[in-house]
Amino acid sequence: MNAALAPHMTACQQAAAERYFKGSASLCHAFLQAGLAQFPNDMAAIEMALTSHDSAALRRLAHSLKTALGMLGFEAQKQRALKLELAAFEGDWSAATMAWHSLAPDLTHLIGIGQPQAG
Amino acid sequence: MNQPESDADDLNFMTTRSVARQLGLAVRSVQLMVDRGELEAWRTPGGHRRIARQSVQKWQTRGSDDRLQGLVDGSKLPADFMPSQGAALVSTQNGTVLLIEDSIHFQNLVKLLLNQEFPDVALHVAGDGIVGLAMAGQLQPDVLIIDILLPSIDGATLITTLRSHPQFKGSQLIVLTSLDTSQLGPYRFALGGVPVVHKPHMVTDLPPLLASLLKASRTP
Repeated sequence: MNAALAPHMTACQQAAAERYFKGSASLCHAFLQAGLAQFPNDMAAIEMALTSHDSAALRRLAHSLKTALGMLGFEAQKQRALKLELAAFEGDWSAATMAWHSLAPDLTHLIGIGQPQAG
Repeated sequence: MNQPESDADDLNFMTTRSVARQLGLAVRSVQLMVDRGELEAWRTPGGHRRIARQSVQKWQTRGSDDRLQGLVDGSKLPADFMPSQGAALVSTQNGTVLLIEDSIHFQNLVKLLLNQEFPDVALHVAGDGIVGLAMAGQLQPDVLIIDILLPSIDGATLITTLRSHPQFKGSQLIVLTSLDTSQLGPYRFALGGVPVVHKPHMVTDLPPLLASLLKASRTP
């Protein structure tokens, strides 16, 4: 894990691990690492669902992301994913696009800090 | 000079491995689906398949009614159908669990949990309701862990279908969802008597429940 990820892991270990991982920092860490590897696929699938106006797929993707982000302690991002899920459920594409534009940079940032450092 | 071959997915195309993971199938099964024209793809100069995301989504969401018939008993499975994990379609001495879950995040967490707490249990994973139904027919698992919001057919319809077939009488069911009480309303018709585990609490709640159901499945 790179140094930039450490503060997120600290938060994860301190709060989320206690609340959602029965106090197991190692399980929380493993779930986080797997999640960071999956986020690029989630982002591409969400873009596809938005482009094709596939509300069922968008709802499922946002719903999954919302729960995963919440369990990892990323509360603000969880709320953005919830907005995306609700917009998808209601078929409100304008709201869905806005919600996605709010969430996507956060995911990109998380993916970035999860990358192994060069050198 | 050949084009560089990316081994990563992009917005429009996916690698065979990614599609296999998304559909809960073996890589070889996906390769054959491409070769049969069931998925739209092109090949890199090195011969690697790059599969259109849209065709994967179409495959997942195409009319399910005509696909349900024959899946449970395996009579309409393609000859080359292979589940994603474990080539042998037999129950192990310590139990077989089939997870039907489209979210890779929660597939991962269930795998982590089972590796940690049930290392001798064989876990198979389906990423789609239709594939899950087919795998259930082949595996006859001791326990099925079923998500509700699934591509192709939802978890409630899946449970109703399973319950209508006597061959699954011995299989124990668990619903794994993060839908809240009101969101579960439309699916409640199928959930009578089925324990529900809320995803955020799965690390605490799933292992003891799974242990008791695995035990019950072995009790004559």
